Amino acid sequence: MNRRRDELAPPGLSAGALTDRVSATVLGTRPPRAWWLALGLATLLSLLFLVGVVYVLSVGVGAFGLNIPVAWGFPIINTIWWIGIAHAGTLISAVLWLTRQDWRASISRSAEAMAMFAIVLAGSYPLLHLGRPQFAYFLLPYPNLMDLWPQWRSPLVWDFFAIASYLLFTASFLFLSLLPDLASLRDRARHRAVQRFYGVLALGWRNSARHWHRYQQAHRVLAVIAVPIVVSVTGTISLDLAVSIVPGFHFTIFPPYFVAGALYSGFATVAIIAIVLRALFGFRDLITRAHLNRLGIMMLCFVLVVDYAYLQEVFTAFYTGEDFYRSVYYDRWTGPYAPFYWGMILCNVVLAQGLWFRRLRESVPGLLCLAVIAEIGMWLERFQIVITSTHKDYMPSAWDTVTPSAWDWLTYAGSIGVFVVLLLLFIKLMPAISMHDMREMLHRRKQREADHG
Amino acid sequence: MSSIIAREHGTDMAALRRKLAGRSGRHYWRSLEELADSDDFQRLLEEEFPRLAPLWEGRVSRRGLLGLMAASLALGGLTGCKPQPEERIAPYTRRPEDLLPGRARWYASTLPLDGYARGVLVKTFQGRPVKVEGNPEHPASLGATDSIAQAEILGLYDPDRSQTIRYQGTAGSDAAFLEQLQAQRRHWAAGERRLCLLTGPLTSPSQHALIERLKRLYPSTRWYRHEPLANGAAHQGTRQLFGEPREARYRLDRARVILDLDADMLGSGPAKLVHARHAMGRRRPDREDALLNRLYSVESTPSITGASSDHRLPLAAAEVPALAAALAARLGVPGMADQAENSPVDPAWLDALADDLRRAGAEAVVIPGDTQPAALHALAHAINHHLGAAGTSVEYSAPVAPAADGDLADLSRAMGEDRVDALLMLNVNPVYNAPAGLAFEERLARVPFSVHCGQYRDETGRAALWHLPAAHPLESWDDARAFDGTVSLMQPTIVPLFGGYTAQQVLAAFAGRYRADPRELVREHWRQALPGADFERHWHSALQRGWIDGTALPTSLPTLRNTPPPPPPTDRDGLLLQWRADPALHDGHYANNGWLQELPRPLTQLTWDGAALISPALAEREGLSEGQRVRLTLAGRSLDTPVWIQPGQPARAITLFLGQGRRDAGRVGNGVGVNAYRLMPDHGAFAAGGVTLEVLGDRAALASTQQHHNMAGRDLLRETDLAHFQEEPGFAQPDRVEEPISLYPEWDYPDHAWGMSIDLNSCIGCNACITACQAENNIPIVGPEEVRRGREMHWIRVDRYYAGPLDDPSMHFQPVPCMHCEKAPCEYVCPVEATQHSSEGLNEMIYNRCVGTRYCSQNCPYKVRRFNWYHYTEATAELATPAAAHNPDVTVRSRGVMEKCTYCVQRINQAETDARNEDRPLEDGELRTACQQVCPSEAIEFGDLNDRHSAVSRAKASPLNYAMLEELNTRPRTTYLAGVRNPNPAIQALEAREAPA
Repeated sequence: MNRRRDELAPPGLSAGALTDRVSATVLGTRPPRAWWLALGLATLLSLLFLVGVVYVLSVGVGAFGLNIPVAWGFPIINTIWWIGIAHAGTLISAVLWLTRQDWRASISRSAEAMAMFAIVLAGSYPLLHLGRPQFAYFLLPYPNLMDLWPQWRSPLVWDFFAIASYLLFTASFLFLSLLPDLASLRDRARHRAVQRFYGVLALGWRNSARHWHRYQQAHRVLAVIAVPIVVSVTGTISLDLAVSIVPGFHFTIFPPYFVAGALYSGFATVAIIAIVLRALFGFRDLITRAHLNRLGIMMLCFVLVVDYAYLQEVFTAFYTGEDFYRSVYYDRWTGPYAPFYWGMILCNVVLAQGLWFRRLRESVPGLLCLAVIAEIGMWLERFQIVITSTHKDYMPSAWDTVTPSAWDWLTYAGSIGVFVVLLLLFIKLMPAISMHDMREMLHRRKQREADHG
Repeated sequence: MSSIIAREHGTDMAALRRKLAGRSGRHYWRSLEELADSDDFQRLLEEEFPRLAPLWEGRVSRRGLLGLMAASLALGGLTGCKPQPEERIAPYTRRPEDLLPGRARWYASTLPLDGYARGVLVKTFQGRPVKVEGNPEHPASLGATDSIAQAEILGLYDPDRSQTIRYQGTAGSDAAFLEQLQAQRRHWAAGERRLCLLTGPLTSPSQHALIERLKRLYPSTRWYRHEPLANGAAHQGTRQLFGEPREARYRLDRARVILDLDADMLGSGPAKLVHARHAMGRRRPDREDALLNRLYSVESTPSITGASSDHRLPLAAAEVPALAAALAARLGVPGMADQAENSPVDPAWLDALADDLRRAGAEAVVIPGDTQPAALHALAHAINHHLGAAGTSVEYSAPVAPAADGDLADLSRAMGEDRVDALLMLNVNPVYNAPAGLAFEERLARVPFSVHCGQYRDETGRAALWHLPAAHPLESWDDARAFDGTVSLMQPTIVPLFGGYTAQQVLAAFAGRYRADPRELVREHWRQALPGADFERHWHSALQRGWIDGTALPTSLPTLRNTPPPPPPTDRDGLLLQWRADPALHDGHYANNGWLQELPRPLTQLTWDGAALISPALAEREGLSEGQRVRLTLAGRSLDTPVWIQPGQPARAITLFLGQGRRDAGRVGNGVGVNAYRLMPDHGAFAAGGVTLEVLGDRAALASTQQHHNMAGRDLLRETDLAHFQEEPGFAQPDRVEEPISLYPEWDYPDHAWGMSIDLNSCIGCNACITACQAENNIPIVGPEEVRRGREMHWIRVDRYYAGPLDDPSMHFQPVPCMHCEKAPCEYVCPVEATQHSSEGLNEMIYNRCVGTRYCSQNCPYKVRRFNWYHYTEATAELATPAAAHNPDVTVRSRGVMEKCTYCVQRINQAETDARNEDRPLEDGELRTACQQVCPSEAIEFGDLNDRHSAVSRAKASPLNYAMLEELNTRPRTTYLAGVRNPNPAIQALEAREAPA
């Protein structure tokens, strides 16, 4: 194998030089112009999100394109989409850490941040979806005079706990892995205020061996907890659909299918962020083509599972012998929402095969295209599952279609704006590449070279 | 207001009073609105606030302006004050017996439609009517009502109703009106000027007596009757045949073979409820005493009657008389022999029909439609007479409505010739619903003294010189005759909300009796009309009952004087335009009623804006799709309307619905649909040839509640024919599982287990249950935009499916309320337990616990749940139901909450409480849901499944019983009795022969 091509960091990069470079992106004078431009555009988009949220909260969920029979729409689609994106972050930071994958070092930080913000958005959509969001706390098992509990049989309650625990977990994981880097920033900061800021956040990290020991322990524990979370959260969300008796929702294959889809879209998002970071801060040597290649391989791996699930789903529908299940598929293929189904097939089955080619995976525009296609494809997949299943279910007399309203699109596009704003602010305020992970990786490399050489 | 003025400016007021007293009548000064135009009043206004006077002239300071605004606002409210006579009020020290807050009281009353009475019971809470039910003892109701009667409650509280007397468009007073009337009366009495009356199709004996009195007082008076939905053909036809006009009364309980000739006997006419009860009562093949009838319909527009028939033949309206003549010839009706070959339909079909009628003999009946010409009526009754049905399945009496001096066309002619000096229009709206050719509006302007009295300041109310607000039937003392002549009494259940006048009051005022008590006017009439000494007791019991015993018109067997005339010649090609009453808005009077506007019309399932019905063949020829707008031109006048492709519509017929396109109906009804009266011919025909159709470029968005018309091959609705049923009685239960299994534990019902059974044999698809449910359960109106988005709120829907060929399909109805599943899919998915199983088997919604995840609706295979997408019930909502119209026993739901059919849980609880208080078990039949109670054909049974002998348990034991989507193991408590039709085997064989070809 071509060694140079597989290089994860420039040869001879010292730990000090790396820390200097990365911390300079935070403590250095001015962010690049592109950063400002992106922030401006994303802020505009997120203002639209705000407008959408305020409008929907003030007039009611009637603003969305929903009706009876299609009572679930964009808020549910977007919840699933965002939570899926979040998943890759956990996989990279925990599972790849446990399996000692060196290539995760430079992208783990951005992946964790991505997970964090994606969950925040995923968690906000269910609130927008509710008819009476002011009573969302009814889903909590809080003590009350009437002795009322949530109904444990409902997947929506499981869902609530899944998203809540995921949010809690991701936040603690992100913060924990930031600690050593926050201390580095504190030590390098020139201004008193900046020192204070990072100093408080660093929680008194002094780089002592004991700190490192405890850090490693805590990190390992969290990473081990993360493994089931990666499969369970999206798995639980898929049960919202699978537990129902709606043809098109009710498939036992849903949990693994949704996890694979989630990871596919998540790795695509990581790839997009990696490419942006390379361009924005000149990290081309830290996030190399080898990284892109590996991200592409992960995407390929999961999209193949997704494609298998598509096949399996169709097979199941026809194997049941039930007219209701079959007609859902006929409708998906030929009905009013057929463009969404075939769009999904085009993105996730046809175009995704480009991931087989290493040259495409390693080319920046190539992978960027494939990643964007993956995002679109996965959104279309959720759209066709959520919308087309109830629009033609059991009673032909109740069949109806919905058209997404302007508010649906506004809150969707706006949420992407919010995501980008949060991410841009994060990479300006925090080191976009985990310095201590990189140093560890460099150290291991040096050791390996010493062993071989 | 007058008292304030008097107190602050005694001298000014005194001067004004003197001045006014000298100039106009005794009561004139009381109406400040009337004074508003006078200089005196302007001066008074300025002097009313002397301290503010500098402000009018000088510069206004900021504080001053604010103060002035506040004062204006406060005083603005005073203009709403009406001078009330001084009254003493006191709280009850001793409560009237049986008047309990929160307990309903019921009053028997009458609601007229087209002048004919329908007996009702009105439910009131503390003097506030909230619901209408049929009067089980009334001959025209038998306990049932239609959608229109149900919706009268909303009409009563309609804020758009006329609230003041108007003179030339501005507010007037009764004093001013009476003064002018007084002057006019002198001219009438002297014979210098002529008074004309225009009324609707009234049957009220007391109103008629007053009209007679007017005619005696002013001998030149003429009385005209305007019937927008009829043309007198029925009486004309019987006169041709019997020498005198007779009113036919069909006894469908005695009929075995019924032929409906474009009459829509189940959906229109004053006896429709009785027809539905009697005809559908003989369509229950699973009963031991089953006496099945057979229904044939020949119809020009698909209707609920055709849909419920065993054989339905689509035929353009103009060809129906020819068919009747060919049939008469086959049956050997004298004088018809030459018509046999002239059949517009397959002669073999007609032969089979003739055989069936002949076999049934006296148990057959032919019913001609009111929109058909007199010739058809003569033919139909000749056939009835010939078959021997006259006297058994059809009876004849004198006309129920007294004869007037002319119709609208006659009046219009007289107006055009300036022979009308004064015109009283009583509860009619001819400016809206006169055919355009009569030029009524222009001619009305030539009448010097025109008075309109109506519930709304409608098109006519705006065109007339004077407009008087009329009292709503629920506010009035009145009487009317039912279809059989039974006099039904109307007693008010509330004081007129907007000070309206009854028809008797207006007529009495014209006769010189001002401000008469409306109660006395009706009582006086009956004191004279009712023989016998003990009037008070008689009157009291009649009021209590709602109708006067023994007032039905006697029937007699008329003798045949003439042979029926030959049918008018018609061409059998070219487009034919037909007019029909809108099934919900009727003649347009109910256009401002949101419940009726939003009621899905039977078959089309269209709400709000209507459309012209066209046949699939015509749509194919012209390349039309649903909602496409076309221009229909007839005799130089044209109308732009969207089209709706109606399977089963005769190929060349285009049907327009009357009652839409109101200009001045009110905020709800204005501009909904188009006014089809404009195209109608002047002579009152309901069909006209020579129409041209031009396709316009644009489309209209129509609001239909059902998008899919076939069943996609699923067995949701099960039906077969009699032969198959007799061969295989359990056909509806092909895979019945005796003891289904479930992962969830079984429920235990120690007390009651409520259940419902809906008989598809009986359901006629009239949609009365939808409106009854809406009235009972405070269901909001959402408007056309929301219906188009699929957000209608009706808790019960009546699904309609077509089967068979597009041009002549069979049509089926299936009411779908909540199934109240035993293993309800909605229950286990709700995260907050807002929908739960009750201890009596109901699936209950807990509104204040619901957070609106809508998972229950997603998981409901029947899709019967409804969601409050917006705050439809907010007082400021565009179509908010007035709070007074709400049923106080039912929660009004707010935004973001799911709702659905509750099996009228408030009625269940009320009945259980009553039984418990009286320490007795709840009787079967004592408790009825709103949809069950309203149903004219008794298609719905509801009761306790724990009671083996209850009606619902018996229904569920029928071999026809089946549950919808049984295979999902939801175990619905609402089950259906499969339909069994009783087709004529000869015609079936005929159709089977044609089918392959």
